[in-house]
Amino acid sequence: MIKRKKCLAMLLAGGQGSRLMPLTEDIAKPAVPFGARYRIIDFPLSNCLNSGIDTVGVLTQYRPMELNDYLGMGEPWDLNRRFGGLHTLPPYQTGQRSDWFKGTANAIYQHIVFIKRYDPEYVLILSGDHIYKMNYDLMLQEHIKNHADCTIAVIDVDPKEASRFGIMNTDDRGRILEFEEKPAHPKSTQASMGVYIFSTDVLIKYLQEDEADPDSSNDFGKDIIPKMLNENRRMFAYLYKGYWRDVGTLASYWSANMDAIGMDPSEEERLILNDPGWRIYYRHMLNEPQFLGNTADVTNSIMGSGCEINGKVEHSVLFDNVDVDEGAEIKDSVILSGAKIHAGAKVEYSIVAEDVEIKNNCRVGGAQSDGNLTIIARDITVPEGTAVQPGEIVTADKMKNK
Amino acid sequence: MDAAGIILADTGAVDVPELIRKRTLAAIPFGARYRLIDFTLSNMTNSGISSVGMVAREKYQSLMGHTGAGAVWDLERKRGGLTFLPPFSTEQNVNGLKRSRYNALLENESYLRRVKEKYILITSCTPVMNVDYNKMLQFHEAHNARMTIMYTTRPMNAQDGIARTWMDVDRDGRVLGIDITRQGKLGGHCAVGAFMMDREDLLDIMDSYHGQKNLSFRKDVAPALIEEGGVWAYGVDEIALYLDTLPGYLASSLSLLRSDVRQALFHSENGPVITKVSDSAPTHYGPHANVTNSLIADGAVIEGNVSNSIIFRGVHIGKDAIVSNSVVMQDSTVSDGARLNYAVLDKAVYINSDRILSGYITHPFFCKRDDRI
Repeated sequence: MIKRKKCLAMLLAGGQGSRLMPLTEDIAKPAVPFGARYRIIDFPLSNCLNSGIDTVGVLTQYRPMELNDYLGMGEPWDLNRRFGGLHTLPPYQTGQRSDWFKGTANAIYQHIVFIKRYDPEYVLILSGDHIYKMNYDLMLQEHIKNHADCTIAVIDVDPKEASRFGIMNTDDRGRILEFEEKPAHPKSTQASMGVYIFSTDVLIKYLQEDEADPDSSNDFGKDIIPKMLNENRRMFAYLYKGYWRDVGTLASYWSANMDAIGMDPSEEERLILNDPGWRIYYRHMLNEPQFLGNTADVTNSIMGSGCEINGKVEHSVLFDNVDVDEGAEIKDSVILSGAKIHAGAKVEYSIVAEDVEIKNNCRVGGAQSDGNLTIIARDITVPEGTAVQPGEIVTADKMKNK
Repeated sequence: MDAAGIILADTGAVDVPELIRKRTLAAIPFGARYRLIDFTLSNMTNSGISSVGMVAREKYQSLMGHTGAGAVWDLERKRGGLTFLPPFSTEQNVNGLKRSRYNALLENESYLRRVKEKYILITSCTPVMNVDYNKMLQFHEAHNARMTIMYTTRPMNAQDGIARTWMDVDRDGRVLGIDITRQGKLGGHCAVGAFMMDREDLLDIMDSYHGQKNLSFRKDVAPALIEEGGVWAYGVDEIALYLDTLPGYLASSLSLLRSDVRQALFHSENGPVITKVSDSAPTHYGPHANVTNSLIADGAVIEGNVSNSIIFRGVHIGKDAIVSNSVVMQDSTVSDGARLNYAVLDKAVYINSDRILSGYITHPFFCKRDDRI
């Protein structure tokens, strides 16, 4: 019987996702729905399954209930195993201390015991806020071939945007010479994706040293990686080619959802969800197929199950159980599960969260060309005839004041 | 609920040779993402039945592939759960056994002895319904019945000329007579293929026939019980969709486009219809899609025109294709410019560009699995 794992994944899922508010008001960012039927965390978890990684620790901290429910025993991702599988790893108390996760490195540090149980040769560190399809095994092969201590996945970004990212400067063999966090004058366009592979012994050594350092902020990007570079460890960049988006802001979240509808074939890197060779797995709800009525007019959109559509839907992403009544119009919008859009209502360039009800003849948002994204938070009822101005973020408190 | 369920996967009063050529009756795809077994298993699990035996005699590969160990219905259990009951062939019984409910139970007598529930519910997978068996059990107990047979007051699309069980029922619900006929209407109560008995009583009755084979519940067991007044008819108002011929299958499929039928089947307070998951992508509607009055499953890609139709998972409808009044099953492709009217496409059918296929509601055009046109 196999008593150890070759590679184990640690998925950082505890972040607050404050820039995605109000979508992250009640749920952790990785549990935020994406692409008509998925949640963000389905992407790294499915990548693990598709890459042959069967042991994943999910580090949770911020509002974990819905995320925990969603993960369950990990069966949607074939992670319900006797040896290995999915484990949710929250912060915990001991006799000596009781701490929240102080930073990404501290989160892993607190769960070194978990890593040691599976005694892996390599540890893959992932974050739960990116949409991408990546074969981690190819990266692992590179890591092994390079005899690396650490391999960092990078993506080629637009030179104009490079100063928004952590940038790796490498030699021609990919060895990292320098790492700059959000440099004003970037020397390269290789941005870190927040995906790391460490050889386990090196990882544990640096985590322990980092924990012992009172001046450290216990963060991989700020502390561990720079320290390893200083000490001249073998660190390599692994260039990933393909669709990759950080969905950390409302605007980027909206735009990645639009990419999920289908991107122009001329684009080099496209997000393709309907891909039997690299499925994205998810936990299913028990919904019947969608029904489009006699007055339905749906174009250029993707839709989850259980929807009942009698109105017009154009270039939008509709999640499960969305109802669009006759005479209602949805354009350039993301409508999350259970939302009801009543007759005569018009929703444009908006994100409408779960179980929102937009009553008759409301006007929500404005043209996408004007650039003001409108958000309606979870469970809100927008009363008949209300006009929600473009760019407004409607939360429960704001609704009361109206 | 103190009852075990027996599902007779290939028993039912149907005449759909097209659809069961390579699958058992219970595995017939229906309603864009289901198979018939889903409705029966969901009814059982929603009613709180946690021991289910599934009897299938042949062509049960697709059925087994679909149900697996029953996990999605919460039937993968240590106690009870889903038990697959394939033919129990011995030298004695392998030849010449008629397909009857009685023979099916006789072959699986050991399962009937093994389960511990007080009652046993025996059902086939047609017609399609969403019902609560708890209420049937209450009725059974309240009338101190030896056998309770379910009928519906709302049959839909039942086709003429199919042999069905009709019951003559008195004002209180006691069954006075039973008849199997293609003409129908002995008292107007049509059984829906589900009946309930006390498990021990059923075993005693089977014992009393001393292993005699080729008996029939309807012809042998029930009449004897009717004689002593022990058979009761339990009526439900739930819609029952019959799919006993190909036109009936098409008509019942298209009935799902009625909101009252969808409500009765998918939003019933009895519970949801549960099916195996396939991790399909969301349904994609292209820039020129034009879909009205249709039921569309996940994983479908629609670029053309669809009206009054049922579209299964993974189906691709090409640009300028026109699909009306049709059922297109899983993974089939209707290429650009092709036209279908009153057609039933089985799984993985490929219709080339600009082909025109048309049938009529009474005579649907059928393409069998893997056909290329």
